[in-house]
Amino acid sequence: MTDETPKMSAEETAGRAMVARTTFEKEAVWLPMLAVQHWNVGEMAIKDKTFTDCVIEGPAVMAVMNGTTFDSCAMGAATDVKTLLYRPVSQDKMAGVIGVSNCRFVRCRFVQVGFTGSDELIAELEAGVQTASGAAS
Amino acid sequence: MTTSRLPINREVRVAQDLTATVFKDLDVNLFDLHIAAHGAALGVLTGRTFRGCRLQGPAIMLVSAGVRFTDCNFGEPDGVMENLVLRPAGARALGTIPFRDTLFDGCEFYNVGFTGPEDILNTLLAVGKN
Repeated sequence: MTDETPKMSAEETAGRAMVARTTFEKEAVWLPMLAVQHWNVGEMAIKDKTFTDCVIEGPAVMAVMNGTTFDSCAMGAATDVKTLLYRPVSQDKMAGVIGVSNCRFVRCRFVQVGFTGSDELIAELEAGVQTASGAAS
Repeated sequence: MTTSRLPINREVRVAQDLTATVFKDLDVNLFDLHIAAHGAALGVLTGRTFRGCRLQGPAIMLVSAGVRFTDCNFGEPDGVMENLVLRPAGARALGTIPFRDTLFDGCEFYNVGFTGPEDILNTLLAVGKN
């Protein structure tokens, strides 16, 4: 007699399927939920995905990590890009943020999403950010 | 003499009514709380009381006027409060979950960072240094 294999809930199955995807196109993505789905399978950052023509929704602050790019994106409804940016007090760890590495955002629109990262990254975003009212390239 | 509610060792008890003003001995996802109150719109969570709650992110809490923390564990900063604090580069702070006139008493925070006006951040950064 063998033990029955534990079955995953529908929610967990759906979450794992989201984590396994590498492309998202013309859809709304709720960033906090996508992050939690990654954490549930032990991945502490969202990695190696391409988002095209998506609406990326918060509230959330994204830690922009190595290899993440923004092509023709509307970063947020703000007249002052600084409103979207945060400087970490520590460069070692950042609690509460959603790490994103090696991801490509193409023609995406960000809603209620802030951004943080290295000083260089913040300077780059300040210089290149295009807000919804006026997109980063 | 007051007794600390920490650490919170009870079983998980997820808050069902996210529009309540008083939360006691419950587990609350901050982003669910924000969505319940404001949907996709911008808004401030005001006039809430959390006692003995575990508050979960991922989220950056914007701490504004009238927010008080008593007997709270702000997270696992590896002993460094700096790991929990972000400074806004601008005058406003988009992407955060703003709170005003709210009491957190005997609460624990998981995957939550904090931002706000400089004086509030300096107070937070002083936690554990006195």
